Amino acid sequence: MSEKNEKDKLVGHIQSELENSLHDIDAATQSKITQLRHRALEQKPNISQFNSWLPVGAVATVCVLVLMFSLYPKMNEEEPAPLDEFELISNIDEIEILEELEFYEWLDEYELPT
Amino acid sequence: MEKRAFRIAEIATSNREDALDILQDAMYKLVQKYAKRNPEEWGPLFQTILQSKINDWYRRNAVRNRFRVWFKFSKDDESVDPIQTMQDQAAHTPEHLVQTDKSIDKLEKALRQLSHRQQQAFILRIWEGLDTAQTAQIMKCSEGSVKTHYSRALHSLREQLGEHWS
Repeated sequence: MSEKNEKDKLVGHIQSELENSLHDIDAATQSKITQLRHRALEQKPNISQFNSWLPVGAVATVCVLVLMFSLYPKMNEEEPAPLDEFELISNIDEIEILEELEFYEWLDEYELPT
Repeated sequence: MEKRAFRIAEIATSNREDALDILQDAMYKLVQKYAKRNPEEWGPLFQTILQSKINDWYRRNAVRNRFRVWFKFSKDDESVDPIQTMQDQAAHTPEHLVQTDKSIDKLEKALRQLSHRQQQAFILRIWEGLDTAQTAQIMKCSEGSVKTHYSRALHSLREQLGEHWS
């Protein structure tokens, strides 16, 4: 018998013995292995639970951003009001009107004949 | 897959409880770290994790053995050596000893005579059906080293089992 055939026969025999040894695992050990497998797989839902909250978080973030950007321009619109008043006060022409208010009252009472 | 992994760990450690611990660690790590990976990748990944855990076991065991040797020498003057009273975890049960004529026991004994690396290379190539490149990736060594380990393992097994199995 050639060395290669001898090697193949030995390897085949070893493979077969190792494979058969799986059936010789006692019931208690088999049960323990099954328990370990189930316990390990129980770790998986924790990951998917975390993942299932990701879309909710994303939607919430988008809502907050939409609210922020929709309210922000309104907040900006309300702010110019004091500026407008300030502009009225600082306007030179308007100040002149205020200074000559008595003249305009007099003019109103005694309209000049046209 | 898990039964085969258990047997690989058991052959490597010669201890049922240690093999179960290694299997548990490997399965937990696979699920926690690689559950999202493509199912086709799970087999090689699991083998990589399993072999890594077995390597860790060998390292821890080597440190423990060194400590035991030191402990034994330092306590030589005492009448009772606590190490001697410790249970040998690799010891076989009486039932096991009765069955020593079984082929699988002869094979396991022969496999345990191999170095850890030879055993790894042989099991991965023969039982897991991995090629040299895949085995080298899992063992984190070159393909040349895998071929050397495998060849030496086969030579050693043929010497030990050849007369009955060839």
